[in-house]
Amino acid sequence: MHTLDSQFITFRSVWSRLRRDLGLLIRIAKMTTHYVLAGGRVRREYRRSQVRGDIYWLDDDPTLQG
Amino acid sequence: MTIPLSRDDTHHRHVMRPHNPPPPTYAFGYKRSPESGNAVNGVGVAEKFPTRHVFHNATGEDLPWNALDNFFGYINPWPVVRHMLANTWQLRRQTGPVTRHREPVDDPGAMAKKVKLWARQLGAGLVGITTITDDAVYAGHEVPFKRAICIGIPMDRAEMCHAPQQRAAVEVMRAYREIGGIAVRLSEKIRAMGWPARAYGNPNSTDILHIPLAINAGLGQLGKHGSMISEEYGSNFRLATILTDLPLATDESIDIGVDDLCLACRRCVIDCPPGAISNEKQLVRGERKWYVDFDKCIPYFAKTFGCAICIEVCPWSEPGRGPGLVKQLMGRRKTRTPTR
Repeated sequence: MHTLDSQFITFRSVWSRLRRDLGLLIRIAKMTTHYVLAGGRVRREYRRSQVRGDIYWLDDDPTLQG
Repeated sequence: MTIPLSRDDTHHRHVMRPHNPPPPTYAFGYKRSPESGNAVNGVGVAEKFPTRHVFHNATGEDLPWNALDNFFGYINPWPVVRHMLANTWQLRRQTGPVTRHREPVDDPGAMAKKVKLWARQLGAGLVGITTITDDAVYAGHEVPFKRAICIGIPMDRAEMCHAPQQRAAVEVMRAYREIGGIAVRLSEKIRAMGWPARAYGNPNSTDILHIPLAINAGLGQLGKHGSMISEEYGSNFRLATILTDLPLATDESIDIGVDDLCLACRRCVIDCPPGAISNEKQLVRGERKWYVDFDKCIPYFAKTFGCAICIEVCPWSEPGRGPGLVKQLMGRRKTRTPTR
């Protein structure tokens, strides 16, 4: 799950700032959904590995790549 | 609230020892080991070269430790993620429109004082100004600014004494959120004067490294645990930076005796569960400095939601102890230096 801290465009008009805010809100909503859904699965798998004494292989899970 | 302390005498009431830290064994791992973070960071390399991103990823670049970074993001508890998302939202204002009329600056010294006063009024506990150097910019990134205003705020020691548990992780992200807000508001004040400014919050700064800038700005020195030590807060603080072209007088780096302490003290080395902290300085990108073994530190960091043991067990992080330590260390230096 990536965070972001770069918004390099200078938003001069009210309309462009509204568009920026809307775009970021959508991105934050996506990040939250990922945290809940994909993250929920990762957390469950990880807990299972901890209980079973297995290894949860990070490079086997496509959710964690990229 | 119970603070895990190993001693109950009042004189040492703030001495922190990690409370049941989990062992450095992991129920996660890589089948194919990623490129060593120490190699990426240039450990043992005599040539100077720009720093590359390894772990915290804000740009979507293909980083060697991306999978662990993503895993770390997903296993963090919701109170941590909530602060991170709120910080992301407020940092949308890290840049913005610059007022057309530019306020002329005849006296950079007076302007620096004014900006520092603003930073403190906004809530910064530490503030310093420096010029931007190449070693503070990530490889492949550019910053079209000349100066950096570095700010720091202390974290709640009572919460941080819970490191490496979740409560400390929540406090770290709360502090990042608070200082991100201060940086954004300070950058807006500068843009309102007609000068461009961009605020950089943490922990996922895309272009710059906060620590080299903050050291040059006189906020403190690098400790053997790889974090900064300031006179006032030890290592119990977080950083943010505002880059600008506003003409400002710059500060000098300071010597508060951190090396003297770190060469004699082994507290963080002993208390680091994965044994990532070394007693010796190392050659890193052409410079001998304190360095923490990335490959040992980061898995434990991820497992414990950001760990933070080393910064809290540092004797300098005990509230109110810093100024006395500086006096003591500088006094010892004077007695060691023969007078003629």
